Amino acid sequence: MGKQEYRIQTYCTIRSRSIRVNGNRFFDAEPSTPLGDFLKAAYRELAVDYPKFHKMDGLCKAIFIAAELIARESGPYERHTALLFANRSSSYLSDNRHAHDIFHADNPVASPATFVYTLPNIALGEISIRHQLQSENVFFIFDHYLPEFMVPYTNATLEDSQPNGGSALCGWAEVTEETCDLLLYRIGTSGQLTHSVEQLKRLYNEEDE
Amino acid sequence: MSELTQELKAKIIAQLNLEDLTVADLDDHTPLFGDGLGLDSIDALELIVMLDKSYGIKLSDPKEGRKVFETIQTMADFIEANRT
Repeated sequence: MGKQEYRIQTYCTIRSRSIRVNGNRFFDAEPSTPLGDFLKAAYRELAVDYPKFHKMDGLCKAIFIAAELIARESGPYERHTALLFANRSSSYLSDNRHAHDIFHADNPVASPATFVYTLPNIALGEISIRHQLQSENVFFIFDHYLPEFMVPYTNATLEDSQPNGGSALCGWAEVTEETCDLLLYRIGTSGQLTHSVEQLKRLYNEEDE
Repeated sequence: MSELTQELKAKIIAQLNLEDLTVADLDDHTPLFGDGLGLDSIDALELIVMLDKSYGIKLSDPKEGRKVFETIQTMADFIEANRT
């Protein structure tokens, strides 16, 4: 019996103040809109009731929105859906804020609410809580978007997790103070798009075409 | 006292990022945890930091915290009695 072929079922991009699902526009804002305001407006557009969203850092908020949209497009996640993510700056946004707090010249005080987000995989925990996942998860730090690594790693993870596996939410989520470069995609055993390096390069560059 | 409870409500909303709430939405006697505002353990830590930073009150006994953070009113009472 040959190896299972995995497919891309749904994908979501957030870039240049624009959110698209499977290439279709969900929400846009003026390029000058501060990133925090943009993500908050997108959350309002989603019309979900999840007050914890407002406590998250920018990285978690962007991933939360994309994961929500993907579930809305292609159905609830299975409990064993693996989470395989990567970015360049890890949790730098929260790390920097925490450092600013604790090294403040006049009033050095650590904020627990900031500190709790000083790891990138906290975002995966947030997604797991929201969608009630009990699955494998990993958050890689790479210099750049690297589908050459992610595709074989994802396939191997899904093969290893059989018979419960077969689905994953993967992506690149690089969020800075004012920029968001995000591609999240859902992998399963059926779907319109092949799960390949070339395909993921095409999806990642789609907005720029 | 009313001024302090209003101030506390504004600080809690800002500090805990309770974006969907306004000062007018918060009752002095609404439980902060559990079925009330639904705050979590990280929020509790933030409230401890807030007491220290804003009112100079250090809270070291967790049992004491349970009573102090019951409602806005209990927080205000505690601050009135202990502020420096």
